[in-house]
Amino acid sequence: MAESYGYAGKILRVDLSTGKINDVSMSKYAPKFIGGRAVGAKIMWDEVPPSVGALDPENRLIFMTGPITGTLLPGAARIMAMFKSPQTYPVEGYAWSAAGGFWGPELKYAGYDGIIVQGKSEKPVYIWIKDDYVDIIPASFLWGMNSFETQTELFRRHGEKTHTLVIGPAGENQCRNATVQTESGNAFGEGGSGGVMGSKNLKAIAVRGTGQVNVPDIREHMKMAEYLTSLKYTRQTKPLVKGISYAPGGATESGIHHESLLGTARVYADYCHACQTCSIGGNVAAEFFDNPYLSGASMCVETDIYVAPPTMYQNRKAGGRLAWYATMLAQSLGLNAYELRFYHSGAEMWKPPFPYPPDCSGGGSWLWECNVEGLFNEKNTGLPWEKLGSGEFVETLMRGVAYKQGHKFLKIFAEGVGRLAGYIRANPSEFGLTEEQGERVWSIYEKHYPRGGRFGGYPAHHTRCGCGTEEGNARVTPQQLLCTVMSQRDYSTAHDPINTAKAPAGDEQLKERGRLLFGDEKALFYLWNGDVCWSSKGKVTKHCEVQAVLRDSLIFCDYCTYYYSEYTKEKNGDLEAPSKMFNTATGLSWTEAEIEKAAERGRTLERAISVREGRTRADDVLFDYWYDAPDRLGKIVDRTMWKRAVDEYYTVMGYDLVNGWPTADKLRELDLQDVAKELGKLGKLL
Amino acid sequence: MAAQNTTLTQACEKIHDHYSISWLLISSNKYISDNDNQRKPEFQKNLNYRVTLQLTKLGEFLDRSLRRVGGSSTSGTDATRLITPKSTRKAKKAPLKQPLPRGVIIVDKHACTGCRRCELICSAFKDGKLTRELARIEVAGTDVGKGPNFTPATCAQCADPPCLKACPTDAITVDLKHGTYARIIDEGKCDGCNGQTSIKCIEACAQYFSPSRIRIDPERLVAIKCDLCDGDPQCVKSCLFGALTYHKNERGIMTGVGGEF
Repeated sequence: MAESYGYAGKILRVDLSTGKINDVSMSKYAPKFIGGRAVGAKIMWDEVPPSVGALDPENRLIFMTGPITGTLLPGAARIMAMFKSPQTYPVEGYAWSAAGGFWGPELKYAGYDGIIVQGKSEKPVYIWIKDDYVDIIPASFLWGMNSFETQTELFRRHGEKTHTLVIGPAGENQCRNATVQTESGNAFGEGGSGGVMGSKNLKAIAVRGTGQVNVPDIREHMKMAEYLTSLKYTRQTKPLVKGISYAPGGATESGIHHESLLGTARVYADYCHACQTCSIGGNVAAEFFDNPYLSGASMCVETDIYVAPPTMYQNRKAGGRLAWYATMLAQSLGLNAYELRFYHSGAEMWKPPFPYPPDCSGGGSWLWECNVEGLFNEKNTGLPWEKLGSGEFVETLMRGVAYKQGHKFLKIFAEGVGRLAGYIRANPSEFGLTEEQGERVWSIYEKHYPRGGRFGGYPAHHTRCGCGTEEGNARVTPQQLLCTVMSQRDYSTAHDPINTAKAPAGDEQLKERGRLLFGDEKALFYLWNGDVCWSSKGKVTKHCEVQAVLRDSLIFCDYCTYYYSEYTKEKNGDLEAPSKMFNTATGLSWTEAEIEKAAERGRTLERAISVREGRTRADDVLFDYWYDAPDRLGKIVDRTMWKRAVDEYYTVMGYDLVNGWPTADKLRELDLQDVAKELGKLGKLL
Repeated sequence: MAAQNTTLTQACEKIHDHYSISWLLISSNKYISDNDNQRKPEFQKNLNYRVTLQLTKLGEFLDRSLRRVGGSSTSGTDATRLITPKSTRKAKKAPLKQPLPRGVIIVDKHACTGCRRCELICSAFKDGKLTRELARIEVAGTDVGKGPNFTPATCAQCADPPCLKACPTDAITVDLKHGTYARIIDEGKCDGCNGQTSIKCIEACAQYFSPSRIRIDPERLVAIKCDLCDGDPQCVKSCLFGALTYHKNERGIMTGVGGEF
């Protein structure tokens, strides 16, 4: 790499089988693949053939930063994890996940753009990086600790300025829904990265860096940071007064003691902790005095899932407390709170017979719904259903899953909800169910895990959303369904660059934005003249995906995106923010078109990885439930329209319409000839 | 109710463990004012006394947090008066040899999110580098284990600066030129104590403040400290959450070591 700006210049490779540690030059990957997720995809393409299983030693666990990580730009603190996922069901497929915090910048200051972990250690170890010094240290003393205890212990050993990625007991036990945790409220949620880390007997990666990130012109960089910060709102200073304090996104209570089944807790909000250089900076936290096991956690207010608990605590007392407790317990066990989140508050929001799935569903919703329909009981699940809504229920569930102990149901739950539902469908008699009941369990699963095909297993997220409003909830949202099916959850969420909720000026602005980006004023609407709007949805999906790769490669935060802003003229934000950020960090002068092309290269490479793993058009479908069940407005996903939208998406992405494989022309255009060559050898190139 | 009482007692004890001071104050105060008017005066007196001790020891400036307590000994008082370390109170009558600083950065640790933007902007502005190691402000703390607990550590610009007195080469002076009267280091004179392991100014500062507000630039081997950016502190400007405020007084501020109490 000619430029030494932005990038640290090398990636650390640690082979736990041999104990070998060496550096890989970043110039092999950047700036062609920008950084972060796209570089991770390239490494996975080069090093992990489809035959490798997710929990095999040959699988790679890659943590990458981007060129802007560690700089002053707002939200430039995130880390991407890339690995073959144990969570996707039924076939293990390539996956990625993101987390915030401080670990990424710290790694950059230590002089690395990323770390590739491969092999498997014989005994538990952790990796300690202090600038150039890298060591693999025995970690038997950490094994068994929860994620908070582990971090505290590592701080004690290496100083409080150390930042760590750790796994909890769930990761150690190689659960397929385990997470890698950093700080108290950031985790790599999707894909089961914790299980991969546990399969390598790696408990933690601790980093302390005393170096710096170079930028070409520091004064310009400071100005750019100030400019980008000015585009986003910030939590304004509000005194923490007695009683109610306010955090945008959900009113939360501050500093209130309240007694619960879980012990005396204090839930507070506003100024708790942020990721590095976060410009939004309002996090919620709670503290359980009597329960040292949950001795403090805080999470980003911006993520609705985390806002929900205290909000609901206020509005729906029992459910809210439970959701909060469940989230914190999941974080400490290193479990994917999303997969296990128990929407008991849903009892009020979604009454039987559950015509619509909630905005964000998960394994908990599935479980609960099955129970209400009489499919699951204490005998066949080992869960104390009569204590539903208590901490005890949540603990039985989560500890059972994390430690793979107790009832057989819970042990299989640790293999992911997809595998559990599939197992029950195949062997209903083992759970005292009839064949029809087994099918019913599966169809409820279909509802909460919309992606059909062989690479499913991810819960729904905003697939029927209207941003949480009563009217908007449970609506068919074509582009978000497409995103969910084509890639992963966070393509398709409220975090996407064209979400309606983020259009400050409403419908007129959406029309204008539609015309500007896609030449179609209907492009960004879910409904048009009372009908589900399928217009230009393929293009919209491509736009979302490319922008998401861009975001995850640079890497900036989902919530610090600059596509809408109330503080600019016409409230359109800055569509060229990504290239500006890239240029101010690297000293290159790429245009927005160039950087989007690089992002598209990353996305096409990801598709190529999936294709090599066997993905075809047959996998780009929704489960039947989604075509059949009407939403709150009585609309359904029309099969013909779905097919047409997929066709359009394939066309704009440059995939062939029969198989969904990237075409030779497209690969050549994106300078991915080596990929084309290998796909050609496999007979997967037209 | 019993559980709450226990919690309250524990809370008071925890004040001595540097533990989330004003959170406890706020919650305790709420509890008392709402539920137990009889015990309020006694309890508040105790709290204020203890907290004052604790604050002076830590050198923290919990301006608004303290005011929220509403106790008689703190309300209406300039918060900077509270930051004098206990151990120097006896020396207050000795005439001050240095002119008082006319500006100081006040910290409200409860507004701090720990985003460390101030650290980065400091080293970017002063050294042109994006690193936390050269920042003249340091955000100490973590959110793991005991809840979010961040404290930006800034230079108190002491009325009677121990670092200035300790410097063997007289490199630390008062910034008369820019009118801040900040205690600044003349990098031409500073020799980093000749590369010795004990740096006099850092040691002197560490007697009163932890972590020491002065640090060594490992490349140039000179001591560096906050000079209030010649009256326009960049960290204060960059803080989006109001954790840092720049307090000015043309008549001088009795702050830090040697300050009035």
